[in-house]
Amino acid sequence: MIAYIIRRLLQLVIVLFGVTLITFGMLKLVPGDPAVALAGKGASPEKIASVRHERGLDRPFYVQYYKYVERLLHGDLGESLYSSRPVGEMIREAAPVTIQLAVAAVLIELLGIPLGVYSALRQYTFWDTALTTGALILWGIPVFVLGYFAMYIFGLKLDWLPIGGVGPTVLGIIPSTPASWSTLVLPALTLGLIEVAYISYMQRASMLEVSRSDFIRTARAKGLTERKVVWGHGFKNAVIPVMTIAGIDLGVLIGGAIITETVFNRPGIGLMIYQAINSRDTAVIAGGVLFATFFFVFANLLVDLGYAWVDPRVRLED
Amino acid sequence: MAERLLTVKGLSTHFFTHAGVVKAVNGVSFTLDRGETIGIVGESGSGKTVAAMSLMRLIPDPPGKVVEGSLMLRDRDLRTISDAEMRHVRGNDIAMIFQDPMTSLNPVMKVGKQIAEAIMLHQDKGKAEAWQMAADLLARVGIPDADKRVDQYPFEFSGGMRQRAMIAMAISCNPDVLIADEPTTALDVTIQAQIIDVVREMQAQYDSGVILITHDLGVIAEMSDKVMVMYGGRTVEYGPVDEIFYNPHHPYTWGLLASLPRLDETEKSRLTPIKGQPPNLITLPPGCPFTPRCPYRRAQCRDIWPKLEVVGPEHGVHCWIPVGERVAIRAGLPHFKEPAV
Repeated sequence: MIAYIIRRLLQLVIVLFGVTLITFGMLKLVPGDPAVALAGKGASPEKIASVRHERGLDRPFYVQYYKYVERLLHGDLGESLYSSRPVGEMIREAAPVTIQLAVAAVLIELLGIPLGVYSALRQYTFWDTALTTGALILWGIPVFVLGYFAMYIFGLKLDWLPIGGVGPTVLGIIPSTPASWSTLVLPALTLGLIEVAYISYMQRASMLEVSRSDFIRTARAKGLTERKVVWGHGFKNAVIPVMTIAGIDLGVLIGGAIITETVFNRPGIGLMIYQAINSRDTAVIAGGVLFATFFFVFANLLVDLGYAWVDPRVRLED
Repeated sequence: MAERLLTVKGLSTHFFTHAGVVKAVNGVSFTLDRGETIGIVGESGSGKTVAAMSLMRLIPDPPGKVVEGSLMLRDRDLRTISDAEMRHVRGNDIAMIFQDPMTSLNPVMKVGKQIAEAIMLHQDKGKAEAWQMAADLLARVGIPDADKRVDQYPFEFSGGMRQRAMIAMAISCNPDVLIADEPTTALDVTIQAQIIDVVREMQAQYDSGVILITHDLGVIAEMSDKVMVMYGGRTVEYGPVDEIFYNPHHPYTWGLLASLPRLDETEKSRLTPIKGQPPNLITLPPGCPFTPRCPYRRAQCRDIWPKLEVVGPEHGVHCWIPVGERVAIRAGLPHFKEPAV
């Protein structure tokens, strides 16, 4: 088990290097010159050249990449080309905002589990059809459409909730004031509801599949009550694949809900990456993507470990 | 006279699907006494399992429904008792062993818990006591190291051991009626014999009545006191095991027996299959479902279901061929030329 975790963490390091290489490469391929952006509007060609030299942007790609990795190994993510702030510091500031939203959204999406079970138990009834149809429609709405719609209704028309920003927290991520909570509601619901739809849909399918299995018939043949059959035997088997989805979602969302954070103007990792892309701020993009990748792979590892914990058949090979 | 456990009369179970009404079981009757074993034999789709599941009231409804007949467990009518009473019957009065031990146990629950669950439910025992009883039961069905095994999950058991665990679960509450639905079909031949032995031992120990569902006539010959031959949801022949094997009267029973490989066959010869396809249960003829495949069919066979004809002690058959002619036809069949004694 320990050996398994260590091996997975080593794999994580390899993945992270791959990601930095790809990110670096892609940023070199896209048109536009960061030196031009840095030198400012209407700068002379000499000024641009001096900025390019100063920042090492005139060195060959592999030298730039080598320098970056070298610094990375010393725990230095580099500096923003734009603001000259250390990228590590920027991530430390932005991460709690993103983690707060990701955790809130995943907690909301877990509501999909009871909804899916409810649907499955009442297959083909009115409520099943209503829930399934509603889920499919919701799932099909892009997050920015739902986000702006929610902002318009609840923020501007009804004026119930703030349309953006963040508030003070305790322990980094838990909102500490009612106003702070209220800033979380719209973005978390926007992200969470779409995932509720997906989770409930998956939970329904999984529950229906399990309810047709032989061991459910065995449980009924023992004389167990329907409640024990459903929850004692069916649910645990049916929830395992759904928990996997929720776990991976958490990783994905911590990686930065770029669209949601942009729509709601939340200064998290997603917004940071978005702004960095606009200004071709290589080090910030690379740092942000690195952070996102780390959490994605890490969440996958946690899901695998969780799997081994709930499903006795899964033994993690050393 | 042994105590009568089950009396089934005119049981019909149909499934109401979009494609039409699937008439899975049509007018099946039989009885089961304490200590007795009845074998239900027939090919896949002949209604064997549906008949047994109807007894347990485990037919998924919708689309399935017992549309006719009476199912009496001693003096209790299984069709009219409440769901709560029925749950008390399941596992306690009637228990079932299923075909595929690989999928019939909950993969994420310890074997011991799956057995103890039934004990706690029906016998008002505490957890520790039920757990100990589960271990004892595993030992009784021949699982070595039962004290350790009780703490394991199904995936740690082999197929034969899982079926033993299923049997332990089924007998845990000392049921009067034990339904074994193809208990050996999914197992290796060597394991099959062991499982049959276990079922037999348990029956002797608890004096249960056993309903053995199988398409394996070898298993029937070894275990059953009487046999019900089913085809297309109907009982075509019914009688004591020796009568069915040595004095079969229905052409379908002949076909079943003739399709068995024989050890005394000296020359290389092919097995004799029953020609044709199993019937479509939605478009069954009102008469004998075997008609399209029967080489001896008459004009009325397809349209009118023949009445029960008693041809021996407790031996009945539904067939339009006159009895004398039947015996003559049978005597001419290669399989029945010399009595296979």
